[in-house]
Amino acid sequence: MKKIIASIFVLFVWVNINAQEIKPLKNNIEFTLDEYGNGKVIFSQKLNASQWDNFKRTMGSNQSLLKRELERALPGYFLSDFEYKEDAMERSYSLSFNAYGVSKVNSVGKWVIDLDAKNPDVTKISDNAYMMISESSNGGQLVQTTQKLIFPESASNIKQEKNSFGKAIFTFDMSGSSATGNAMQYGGIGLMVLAVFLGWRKSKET
Amino acid sequence: MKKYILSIVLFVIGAGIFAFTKLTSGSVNDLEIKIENTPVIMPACYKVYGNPEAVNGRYFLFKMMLTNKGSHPIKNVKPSYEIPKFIEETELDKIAVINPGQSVVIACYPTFKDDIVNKTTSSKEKTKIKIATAGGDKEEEFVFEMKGRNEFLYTCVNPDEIRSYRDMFDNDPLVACYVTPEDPIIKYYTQQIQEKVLKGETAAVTNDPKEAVRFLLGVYQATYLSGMVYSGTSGVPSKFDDVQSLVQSLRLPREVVTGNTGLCIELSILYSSVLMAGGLEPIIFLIPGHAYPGIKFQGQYFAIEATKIGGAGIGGRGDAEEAFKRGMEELDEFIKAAQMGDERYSIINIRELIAQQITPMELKDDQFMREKVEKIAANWVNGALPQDVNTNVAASNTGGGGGTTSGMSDYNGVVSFSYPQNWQGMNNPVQGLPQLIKAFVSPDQSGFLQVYAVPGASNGNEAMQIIKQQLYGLGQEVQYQSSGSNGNFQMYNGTTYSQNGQLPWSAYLKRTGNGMGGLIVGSYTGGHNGIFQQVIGTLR
Repeated sequence: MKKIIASIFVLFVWVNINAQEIKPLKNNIEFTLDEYGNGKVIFSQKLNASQWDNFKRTMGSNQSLLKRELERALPGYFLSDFEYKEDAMERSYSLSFNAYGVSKVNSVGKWVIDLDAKNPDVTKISDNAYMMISESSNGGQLVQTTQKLIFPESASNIKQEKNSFGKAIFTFDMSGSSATGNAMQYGGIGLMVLAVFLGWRKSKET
Repeated sequence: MKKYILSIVLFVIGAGIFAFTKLTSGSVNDLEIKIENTPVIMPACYKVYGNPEAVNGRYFLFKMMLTNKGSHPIKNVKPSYEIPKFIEETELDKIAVINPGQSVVIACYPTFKDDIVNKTTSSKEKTKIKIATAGGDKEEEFVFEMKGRNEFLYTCVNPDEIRSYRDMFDNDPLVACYVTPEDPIIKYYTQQIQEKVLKGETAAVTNDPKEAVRFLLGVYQATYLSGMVYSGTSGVPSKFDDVQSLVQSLRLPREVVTGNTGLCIELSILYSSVLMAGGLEPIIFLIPGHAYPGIKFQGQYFAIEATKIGGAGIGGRGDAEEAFKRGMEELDEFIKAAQMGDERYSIINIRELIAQQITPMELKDDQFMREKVEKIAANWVNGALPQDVNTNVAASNTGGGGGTTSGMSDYNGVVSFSYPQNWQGMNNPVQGLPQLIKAFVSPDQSGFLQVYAVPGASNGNEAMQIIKQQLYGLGQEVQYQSSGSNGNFQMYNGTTYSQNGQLPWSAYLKRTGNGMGGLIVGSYTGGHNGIFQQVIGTLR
């Protein structure tokens, strides 16, 4: 997930890099997971006059380039359903797309989403929504990015943990997930083996 | 019979559970598989293909999306792939379960063996993909073109998606894969240059740009003395699946050395290999239809026209000083075009690309080639580069134009002033600080004259804020205050704090056509005040 956010960040900061602005450039990224582990990403920006002018001269005049650049920046994902909306009067736009398979089920049946960052500053804003605000400088442009991660309604037991490499992950349960099936299958085999063993022991007792 | 009742009950329960889990498991036929594959593999870049971190993972063999379209979970999914003759069956991932409706994406970055670089011709190869699940297996395959190790595709962008010149040369960063400073043959060649042509050098261990330039000239001198000639290689437009590109045959640096001939890009790659083996920061300058090598030393670029070696059959050849002079002239043209935003003028910084994990191929030592290098180097004994070879083209190149009077030269740009002739000039010396368009440094490296252009700023305060922010991004903290105005100039005094120490400075900014511009003077030691007064006295 972090990779997606980082790529969007780099892409759009690059778009606006030529427009010098003392106030930070504010980005909003909303990342909504569905019950299948896919992510819907909405990126939005509100620009000042010179930034808007620069944006329209580059990507904003040929929005298919936004799609192309995102696909090239995120080669490890399958992206679809790109949608671009702009409000020229307010000098703002949003780009949304779907990224498939960003959350996976692990061997014990837990859903896992990888933030690919150590010790991120995460704030819980509701039972199923978390927020991260980061500030950085890119080529002298101060950039403030607000990232919101929204879990599906059916998600429960959401926990922020660390993976084996010390990087932050979220684990959660979701109805319909069934990795427990493996344990049941092996349990069934175990019971059959145990039954045969007990029968064999009983036959030896006489 | 009664004594077996527990065993029978346990067996029936176990069998029931097993049957239940089997009946509620999805089949492999429920998997919808979507695959995107690369149409071409360039063996010279095999380390890039095998590294998901290289160039942000752009160069994968294939990526695959598995979607469970059935109503039961599919368990124990193990995708694997195989490239017969090159890579044995290799498991990609283990997926515990894919729930109904769920998608899983897997990208394949193949680990080829080092001997893939022995492949010299193209062939069609097959990738076999196997998806093993608890509910059966499924196989897919695709064919791709495996090029020879010398063949280089300039782009992998679909023709429909090509928008600009840069898209047509999208693979340029992969040129770094052909730069082979660790090749034993190139290392030996470099040692021979250091010993026989340069008679010793200290380019990588001193701060003296002249010594770095002497090394650059030494590489030219070696090719010159060897009788190396310029020659072309094949470059043909080709089409592979969705990709259409010019395929250039690039001889490896060891082949250029032992073959004693090279094309402009091949010579640039050879120079980069040798310069890097010598501890310098090699650069390849790319312009429409041509390439030439150079170095970046202390923030300043130097270039040489490697093809000046020419050949008797193509109008003769020039010596090292002529090649350097021409290279620096080309560099001036390059910088002007790049500053105008002409994207056809670009640089390949080999060290930066290696930092992005675009790593060169592994090459083994070769006795025949080593002997060939020895034979070539035997001709260099009487042609060593003179100690006093003219490396001053750089100094005259760095001026802002204008004449010279009594130890001072004139700079004419967003502002005009006179500066000491022996201060070294640099164009755009700091990457990430585009507003700094020119800098002059005192011979002891402690004093600076910096020319800034800040488009979009409407007054001095805005310009200073922008510069301050840019420097903050580069790890430098700036404190300053206004010190009034003088004529058209707004003046500021301040200090920049960085890991190099404190730099007190004075700034003189004025309005320009599209923003603000001006001069900042400063010294780490607090010296050079007399010179600064002289310079400010000529500022206009």
